Amino acid sequence: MNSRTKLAFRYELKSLALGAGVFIAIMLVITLMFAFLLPPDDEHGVSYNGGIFPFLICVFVFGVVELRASLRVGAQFGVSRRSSFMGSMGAVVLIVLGLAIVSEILSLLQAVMNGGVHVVELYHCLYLGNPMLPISDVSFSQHLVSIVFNTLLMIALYCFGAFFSAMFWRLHGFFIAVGAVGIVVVVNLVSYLLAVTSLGTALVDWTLAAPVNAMVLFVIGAVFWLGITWLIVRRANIRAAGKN
Amino acid sequence: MKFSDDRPIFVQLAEQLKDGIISGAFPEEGQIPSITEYAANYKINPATALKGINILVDAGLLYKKRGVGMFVASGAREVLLAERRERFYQDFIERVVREAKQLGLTSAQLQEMLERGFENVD
Amino acid sequence: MSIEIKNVTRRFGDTLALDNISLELGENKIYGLLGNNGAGKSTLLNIITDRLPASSGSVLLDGANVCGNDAALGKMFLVGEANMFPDDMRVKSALNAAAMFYPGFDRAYAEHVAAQFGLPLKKKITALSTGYGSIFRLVLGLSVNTQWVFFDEPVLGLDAQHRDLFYRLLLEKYASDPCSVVVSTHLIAEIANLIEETVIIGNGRILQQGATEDLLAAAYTVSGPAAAVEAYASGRERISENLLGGLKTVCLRGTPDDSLPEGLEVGKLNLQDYFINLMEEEIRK
Repeated sequence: MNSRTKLAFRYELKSLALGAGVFIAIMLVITLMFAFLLPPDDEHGVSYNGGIFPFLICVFVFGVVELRASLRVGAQFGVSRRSSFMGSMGAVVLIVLGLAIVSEILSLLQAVMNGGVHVVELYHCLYLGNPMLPISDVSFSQHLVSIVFNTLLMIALYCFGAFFSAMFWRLHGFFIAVGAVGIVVVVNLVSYLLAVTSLGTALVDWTLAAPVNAMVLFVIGAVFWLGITWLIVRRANIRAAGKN
Repeated sequence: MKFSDDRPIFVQLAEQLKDGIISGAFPEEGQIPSITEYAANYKINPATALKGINILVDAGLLYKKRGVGMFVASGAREVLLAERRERFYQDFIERVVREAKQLGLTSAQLQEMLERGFENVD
Repeated sequence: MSIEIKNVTRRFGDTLALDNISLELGENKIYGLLGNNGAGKSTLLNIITDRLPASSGSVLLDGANVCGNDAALGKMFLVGEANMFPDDMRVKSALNAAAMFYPGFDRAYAEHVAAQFGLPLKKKITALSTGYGSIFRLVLGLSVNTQWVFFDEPVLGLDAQHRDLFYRLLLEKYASDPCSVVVSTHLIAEIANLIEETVIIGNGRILQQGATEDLLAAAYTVSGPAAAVEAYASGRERISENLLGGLKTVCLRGTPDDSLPEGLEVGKLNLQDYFINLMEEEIRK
């Protein structure tokens, strides 16, 4: 890894850390709000599944924004596209890991402070059998697996966000509409196929069978979206954002 | 300094330097502005400034003190005056006489004008 | 040390922005890249710095292709026409980032120059006016100390005072620390005395290139009564002509004869006039 890749990595780390920091602060405030505003209620159980979801959306947005931002800054500062790309991804992995850890801790915090809201992480929900499992029953090693699970999922989502951004960067005018419609069609088609075909249901069963399977899927997804993004971006015209 | 289009800039720069030495603006053994100062002030390429200065260096009118800058050589003024006197006939006299002849002035009339000039012009 | 542009062509859809351009840029010179709007100057600079891939052809820096080449890209800096920094970034942070990416970046000098221009360090880059946006990028270009610095229309939107200041700073820097500078502009009169080598681009092709002095020495004007001028000009390569009443002026390629027929006057061209005449010739072709 050459020195410019390292510089791109350091720069991206700072840039993403700032955004991630702001997001964590917001999530902390929300967690505390839940703790103090929702009193424990034994009759009506409130369940909060997958504290990771806001994080997933945040990371997807990061992917959309940072792809262009990192390539632009790289272009201005004499960093090749490949180095920008690789440096970025290195920073993303680190930041996303941090976010996954924070998410897990916030879920624990939520459970410990409250009692009125039953919090469960996505991983616990999907793989530990009982969706109403109280978080205090989750073992430490299971927390670790949850963190890795979330990290890989977020990496895949970041890559998808980057692909999203890259695709619309290269498309012009009429084709943007085509692209937008195309995505909606593909998503619906894939969901339909997963639900209806035997291959589809088999795939879903396989994924839900063991956490490792899902993680493999995430890694494949990440590589796939990243690969396509690279193909789109390697010959792109890196232009300014339009203002000033 | 306004540069005219008809002669290369480095030539004009050299002429200005020579004028300055003759008039005393650049005294002998005194320092002249550096290449950087010429370039930045006149908005010209340093290479151009260097070329102009080198014309005088090659003629022995300027010398370089290492680490300090360019200085006017002693005796430069005399050399330049002699050079100008040599050229005075070609640069001025020939033109004046040509113009006078065009206007139909005689030699005597021209000399009378010259005397008048020496008296009135400072 | 040199940059070789070899047979570079660039298309945008149906438009041919650059048509088989070949050019060599040598070290430690100030180049002027002159051309009208849309001639292809920005396109060429973007291709040299790998912001834009060529449709065909290549750019070599010291013999190595610049595409995807970190070592080569790190030796160049392009002061472009638009802002490449994120929306929320402040001038100060951009300077910090530049210092990180360029070991030769002179932070103190950058702040000193920013102060001279009156550029506020705390302001967001996207909040700067057009003029100050340009100034911000100029400050970077002057402080970055790479071997090659390219300025694409650097003085757009700058008032007279700031333009003067920029040229002064550029020359001071260049005189004390020689590097290779390429300035692309359509404001020719101002830049004429700064540039050692001129490259004139029109319609995506190189029309003329060479030492500024040589280009201007190879053209001259002859003016006088129309018939006499015509007689003299016949058989010589004519760049352009102008008729005002009975007075004709032609711009010819080459050097004038030692003695001219009665009534004819010879003149030299400055760079801007030369450029304008050249453009007229292009239009007529």
